[in-house]
Amino acid sequence: MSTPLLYRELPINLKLEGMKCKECGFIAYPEYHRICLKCGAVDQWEKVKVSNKGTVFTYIISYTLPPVFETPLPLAIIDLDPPGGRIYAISTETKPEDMQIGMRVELDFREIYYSEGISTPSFKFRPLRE
Amino acid sequence: MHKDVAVIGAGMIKFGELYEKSLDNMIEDSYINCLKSVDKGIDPKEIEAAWFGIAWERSGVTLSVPTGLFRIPISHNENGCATGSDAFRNACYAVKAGIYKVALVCGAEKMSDTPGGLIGKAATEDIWKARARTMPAFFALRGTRHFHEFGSSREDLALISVKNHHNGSLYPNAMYQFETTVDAVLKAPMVAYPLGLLDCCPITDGACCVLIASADVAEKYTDTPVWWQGAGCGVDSWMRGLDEDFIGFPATVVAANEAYKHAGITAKDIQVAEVHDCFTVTEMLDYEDLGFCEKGEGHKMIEEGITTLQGSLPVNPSGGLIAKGHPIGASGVAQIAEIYEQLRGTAGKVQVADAEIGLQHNIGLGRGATGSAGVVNILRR
Repeated sequence: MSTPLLYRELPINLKLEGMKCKECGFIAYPEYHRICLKCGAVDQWEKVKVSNKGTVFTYIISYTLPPVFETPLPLAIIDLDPPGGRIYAISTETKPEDMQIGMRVELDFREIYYSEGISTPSFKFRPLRE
Repeated sequence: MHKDVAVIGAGMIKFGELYEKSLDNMIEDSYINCLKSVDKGIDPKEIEAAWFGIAWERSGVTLSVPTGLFRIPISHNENGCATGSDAFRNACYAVKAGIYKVALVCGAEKMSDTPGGLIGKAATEDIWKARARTMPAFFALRGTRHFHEFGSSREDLALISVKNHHNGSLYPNAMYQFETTVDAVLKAPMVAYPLGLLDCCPITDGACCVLIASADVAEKYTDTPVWWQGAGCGVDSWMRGLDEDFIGFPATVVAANEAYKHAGITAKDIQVAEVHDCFTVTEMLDYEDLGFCEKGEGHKMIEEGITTLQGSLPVNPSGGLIAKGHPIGASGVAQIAEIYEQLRGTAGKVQVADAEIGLQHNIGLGRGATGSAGVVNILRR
């Protein structure tokens, strides 16, 4: 992991902040660009805070990962509540047998992994505590 | 039927964990096998250009050294797991354009004793795009969603593994030549639910070469060429292109539609296919994305035995990537080689009956396993 890359990606690791296209309304999260990924409009983004709650769209349970991860580890594609956006996240405090499509989850700020002397914190999901 | 680009020869090596062979050794062996395969012989000096498909090497120079092909144009082509098929596609365009009369396509990959490796890197090196996003995960995400929407199951996926391992057991160049059962597939160690070990292709070393020629010189080399009919390529990402449903690969759909249009055929005309089965779920989705059946019906094709060697549309007679192995750059070229043999009637124990039109397909990953690249080629005898 290069230091410039680490710093460049700090905002998207530390904030639940995406970009909303003023032309088509698409919310890009977590990537930052000048061109809208959906409609192609140029420089039409405005920053938008995305929700920390969402619904599992699909998931897997990973059993084979590098040692920095604990397995079996549920991973999911989560559709965030309004204003919207979609995130891929790994889980915390989630039992593999509890995973299902449609389950409600929330994002929690945790250490993703520790590697080469660098702790990488960002958002993990866990079952929503209503 | 298009008769402007002919496949005139194909040669590969037995895929496997080839610790005794270097990348150069593998390329050299497959190149010599390819030259020898040309019915009426070929002088290497007649090769005017080459395309080299490999994912972990750089530049065409890597192909020139083991083949002795110096002072001709050699391009390195990389497009994820569609690397080999894209190299073939680009070579065919150049011959079709009339720029070259004879061209070589080589695909190769040395995976077994390469430090690091794609899967480990995908998991950790790139913080945001990578967080535990592995190759099996990328494909397995579609499996869970397909199960949910269409009622497919791990048992359906197991049937694909059983079929491909059976074919591989009959295919002399396959890395794995054993049979398996549904029960064994379901009880194999989990890799990424819903995929177990026997749902996955192996890490493989291998190389394969094919030779193509323009129509005006093809008969100098063979009386039974196989004609390239067209190709397609598409790329996509769920962050964010068309790929939002997680029940298939829109990149495959784009590639297939372009290829069918160029070939002037539809999916119904395909009689044999070598498709991307890096995981069993991929093959099930390929059936749908390539138009062999409707979306949501892929599992029924394997349940009904349509894609077995004796079925009405045999898929992956060579054992596919699951049994034959998946040396990234070589995989697509080896699929072309297999379709070439099938259409010529020289496919040995895995020969399917009376195939006239065949399809080859790869789907590869990109951008830290958030996107995909698909390539389709169509051949006809």
